[in-house]
Amino acid sequence: MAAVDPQPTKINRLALSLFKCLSQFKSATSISSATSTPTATATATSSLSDLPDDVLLHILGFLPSIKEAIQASLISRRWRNLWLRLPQLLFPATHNRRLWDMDRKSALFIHRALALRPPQSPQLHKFYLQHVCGYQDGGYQNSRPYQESLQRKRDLESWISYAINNQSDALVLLELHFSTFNCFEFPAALTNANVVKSLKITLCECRLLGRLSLGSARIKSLTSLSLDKITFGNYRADEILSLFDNLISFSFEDSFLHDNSVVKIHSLKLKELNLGFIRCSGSLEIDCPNLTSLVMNYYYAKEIHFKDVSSLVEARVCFLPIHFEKWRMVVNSISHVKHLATRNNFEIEFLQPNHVLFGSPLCNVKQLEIQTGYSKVKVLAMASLLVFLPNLETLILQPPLIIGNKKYYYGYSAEPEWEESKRVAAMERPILLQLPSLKFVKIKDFKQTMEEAIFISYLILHGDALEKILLVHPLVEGNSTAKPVVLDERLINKLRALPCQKKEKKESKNQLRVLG
Amino acid sequence: MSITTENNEKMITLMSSDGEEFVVEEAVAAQSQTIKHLIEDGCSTEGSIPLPNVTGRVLSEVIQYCKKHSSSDDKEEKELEAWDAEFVKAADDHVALTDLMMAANFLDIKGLLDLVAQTLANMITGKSPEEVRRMWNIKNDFTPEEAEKVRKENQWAFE
Repeated sequence: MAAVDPQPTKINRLALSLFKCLSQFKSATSISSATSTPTATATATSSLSDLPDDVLLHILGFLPSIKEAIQASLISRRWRNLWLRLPQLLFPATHNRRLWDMDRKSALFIHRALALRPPQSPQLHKFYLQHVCGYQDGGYQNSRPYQESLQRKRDLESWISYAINNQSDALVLLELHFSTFNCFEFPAALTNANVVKSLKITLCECRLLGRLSLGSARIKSLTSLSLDKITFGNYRADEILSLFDNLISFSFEDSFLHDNSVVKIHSLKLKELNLGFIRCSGSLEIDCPNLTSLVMNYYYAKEIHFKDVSSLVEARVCFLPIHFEKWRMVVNSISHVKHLATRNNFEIEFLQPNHVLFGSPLCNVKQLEIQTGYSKVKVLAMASLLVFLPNLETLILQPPLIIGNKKYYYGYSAEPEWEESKRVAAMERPILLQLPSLKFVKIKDFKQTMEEAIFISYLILHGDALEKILLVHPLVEGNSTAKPVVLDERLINKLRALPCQKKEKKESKNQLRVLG
Repeated sequence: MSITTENNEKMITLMSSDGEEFVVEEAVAAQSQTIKHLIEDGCSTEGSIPLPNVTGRVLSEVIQYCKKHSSSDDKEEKELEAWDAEFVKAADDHVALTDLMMAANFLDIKGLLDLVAQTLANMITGKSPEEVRRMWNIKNDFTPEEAEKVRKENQWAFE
């Protein structure tokens, strides 16, 4: 820590005692949670068996896939054939083998499950199929993968027909993954029936979408569409949305657009829009007066225009450091939102002397979700952003998400690369967090580092209205995790008043333990 | 019994199986389709509505849920989600959850039914049949031969 802070010793002392408290705290919780489990199971007196069949079916319907429901057949006689009476069939993909291998096995599974289901089973209100249409190489017609994939094509048609023939109302959900190049045809059963509400398409060429648009083939029932890893070839991206009149939710990610592509998203019905990981030299235009939620994750277009986004409530806006001006422009255009989420990766611009980020403060923003580290530079950068959020009540922090599993995205780093002398110059500044309205702070993936403890100390000393700090430990292998640590108002006041006398420290340590 | 409070909210009285009485606003109680229909049929005018399947302890939890969900509007959806998560956590052990599930079913409160069903489903996921039986005291009524047959029949779903 540089020594020019207004209260350097106080910060450091507070940070140190917090650091000690919190590291002791973790071991205490993990012990108590381990001992509490057996007692909970021992007290069982009533039983799931007391519930009527339709309630048990209701519970089975919330299992992640039909597989778990079938496995429950082994519990007792009563459970044996319950799954056959479920009104929903969920077949999520399991991505762990080579595509066509895996697909063959899951295809057998689906065939079997559908064949066992008796005709008098209830009509479906949910059919969820994550379908991986296997690898196809047009050149080797007799190869096993090719034959497999032809079979899958026929399978898919029959499954969709099954779902459509057995559905009770228009609530068939379908998720399709295509891993194919040019010989795939969109399932005819799907376009003709017009009952599908939600569709997710991954990995395909846009030609396929072109077929969807042919006259009556439009799926009017569709309200949610997700396009991921789409190659547009010669097709114009601006036509995508015009094919789907009734979309409420639209997601468009990780796709290759032609140079100078014009993407126009004009819709009166659209409420949720998710745009991510696209880079194009063309333009993006959004005119959606009823849009409430917008995500722009590393979506770069040379020109970005917002025509009408007046209903927007929440927005996530992340750009690479080299696109700082785009970030600023976009945040300025959506400055009326209540919830803003972003990444703290513009410190080079934020920390330029006398730099003004925005013309006027973003007074509507009540909640900020920020991906950040806690080094001094990051905290300084956060401080310069917070100046423009005078009414902020909730602050949620988490480490930066890794984009595309790599440090570089399109050859650019997601974190800024500093000249050392400039970094040193920026570090000279004192940290002053302006948090006049801040009430609640949540730190996700809390790793109990000294840097985090220092940051929390600044929050405590500068955040006069602070009521609660929640520290959530990272998920360790699946979902076993220590309980979150809560610093409540009383404790915060105590820490703020007298950071480092031995007696005090001990007391707060005990309090922490109680709070957990 | 219908009582009217100062701010003109119609109140009704619910009686649990163990005789405990709860006075709640009609709008809160009417989140239960069962109670709503009883009120519409005029059952509430002659005294309290008896709920023979629900104990006082469970009923007070159900009312807590209904109160929260009648006072929040759609805009607070996220906050409500967080509240729901806390609510089922407070019900804690799976026994209380099955009681709550039973009550939600009898009283026909869709939101609560889904919430508890999801929680129970999460608990079952990843557990062996034996573990599920132990958690909820379910008797294994398969004969060994039967058990073997069922296991064979469903082997394909375990691969």
